[in-house]
Amino acid sequence: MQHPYKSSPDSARWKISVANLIPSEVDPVSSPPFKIDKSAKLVTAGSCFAQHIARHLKASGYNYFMTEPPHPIMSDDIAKTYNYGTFSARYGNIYTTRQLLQLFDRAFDKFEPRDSIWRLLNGRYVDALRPRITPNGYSLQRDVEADREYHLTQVRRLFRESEVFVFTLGLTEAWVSNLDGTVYPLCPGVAGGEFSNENYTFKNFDVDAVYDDLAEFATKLRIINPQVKFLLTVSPVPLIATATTEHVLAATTYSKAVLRVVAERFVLQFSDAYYFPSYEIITGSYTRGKYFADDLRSVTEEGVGHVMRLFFKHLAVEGLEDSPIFIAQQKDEHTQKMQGVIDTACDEEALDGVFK
Amino acid sequence: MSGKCLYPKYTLIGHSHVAAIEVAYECSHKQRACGYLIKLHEPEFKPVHHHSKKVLLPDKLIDVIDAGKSEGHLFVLSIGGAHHNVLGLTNHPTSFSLTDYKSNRAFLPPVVFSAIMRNHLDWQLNILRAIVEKIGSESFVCLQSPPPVYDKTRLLEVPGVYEEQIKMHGVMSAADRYEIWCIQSDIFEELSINLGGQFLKAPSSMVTSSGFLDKRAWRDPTHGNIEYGNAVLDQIEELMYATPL
Repeated sequence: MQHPYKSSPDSARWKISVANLIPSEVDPVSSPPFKIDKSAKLVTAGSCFAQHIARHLKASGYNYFMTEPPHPIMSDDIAKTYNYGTFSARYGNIYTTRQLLQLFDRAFDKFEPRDSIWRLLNGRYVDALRPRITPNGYSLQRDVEADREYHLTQVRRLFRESEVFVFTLGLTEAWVSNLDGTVYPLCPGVAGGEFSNENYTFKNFDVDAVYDDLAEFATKLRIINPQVKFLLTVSPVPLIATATTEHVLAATTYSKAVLRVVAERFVLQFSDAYYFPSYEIITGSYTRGKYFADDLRSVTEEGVGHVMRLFFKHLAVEGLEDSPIFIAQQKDEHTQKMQGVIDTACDEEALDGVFK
Repeated sequence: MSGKCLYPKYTLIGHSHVAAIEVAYECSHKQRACGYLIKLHEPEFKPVHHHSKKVLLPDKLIDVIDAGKSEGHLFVLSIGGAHHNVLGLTNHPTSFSLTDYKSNRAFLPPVVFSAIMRNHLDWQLNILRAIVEKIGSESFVCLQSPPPVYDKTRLLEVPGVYEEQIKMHGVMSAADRYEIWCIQSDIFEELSINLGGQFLKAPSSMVTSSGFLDKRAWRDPTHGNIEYGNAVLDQIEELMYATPL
């Protein structure tokens, strides 16, 4: 009787499917349990790597679902600065599964963080749960609250209507409020607020904690949106810093290992859930590091391109060209017309009203 | 007027609000101290785009500024004051609000809208910078544009040049129109002060307790009437007797 390896496919063999290929030909993607058609509402959330996915999905002609899209009166620069379109809603980076779960609970009024508005050194205010969403903060606290309430309304809508939820797992390390367990995307004091050991605790979530939060989120989401599909990725971007006592390289390996295990466990437990190996595509030894920029953290466009090419190849219902189709920016005709009215208004208008 | 007269006259430069003030000036029974009045819509005074988005001031405008400087005039500027109505008069097809975050409209927090407005006013702000640079070390004031009209019915009855747009899209809420006007005012005030000048707010006698344009001053959706214009002229002439800027 032959041993199993005799009949294993090429994809199971390192030499054939990794070592002997030119890097751009390496394709570690296995058969997904679902495909995505152009009408499906695709939502993205997660760590900074997820922004690359969002960017390409937006440009791809697919239905990248945004509940806080850039308004037509906004220039591209302003939209980018204020994080309209960076993700499907303006939640900013969501690094941990605990943060994701808390976002869901906040959106559905199950959790209200007590320490949620911080001040900057210049006296302005930031939303502690998304401190970089508005550079230089808000001038009034009530503006933070109004924008947050609107945002959470849009997040509710996003959770209810999304059809494919793409989440990039980023970190296991987080800073947690001692008051109520709120998990912040940034350490207090970095972008607003003030750090104190009395108020905040460092947490490095383990496999069970990360998985349990993700599973709880997915279960809750499927209650309000039973048909939603999950697509998980793990961010290949190393930690910029660790708050553990480990070397940052070791801490990174630990974090990514935890997240990779969680992703694997999740797709085995949940139906219509898929792990897409963008982590492997970027970090695999076959690349010899060329998918990282000089800082050895940022992912190059070439690397992102490889990821997205395989994403569309395996997940798209219709075949898609390798190059994304860029959608022409919607022109704000209304404002142009109003501008034209102002520009052509002249002295006759002033004289017209003299005797009224 | 009491006090020392610091400026013999003033030179008034600006867009459509200057035209409205000019009517007040011509109809005024008072002895007014206006030296030169320049309407930037007029072809010979209209600033033009130079390469790299720079503003080129036409020679005739420069001549007037030089004349005003040599005669020791106070410079009064009213640049781009109507522009809050481009974004903030009628409802946009993708409706938005700066004040109502619970409706179906897209909520744009004031800090975001301020960036949008600043971007939208880029050309006007550059005109202001170019004119102030030409004025040099002379004192100048920028006029705040008239506040918006609270009453939607008035805007529908007297839509002015916006008739077609108002019919098609309706008028934004008073709260939003006021917020947008405030943001525009803040932008011009900040720049005026940064450039070393002063920002002259709308005459308090022409403004309601909630900040809108008083009924006595109503004309069209953008401009004040003769009474408003006279109140502004009174303000300017008071400045000529104030302590140095």
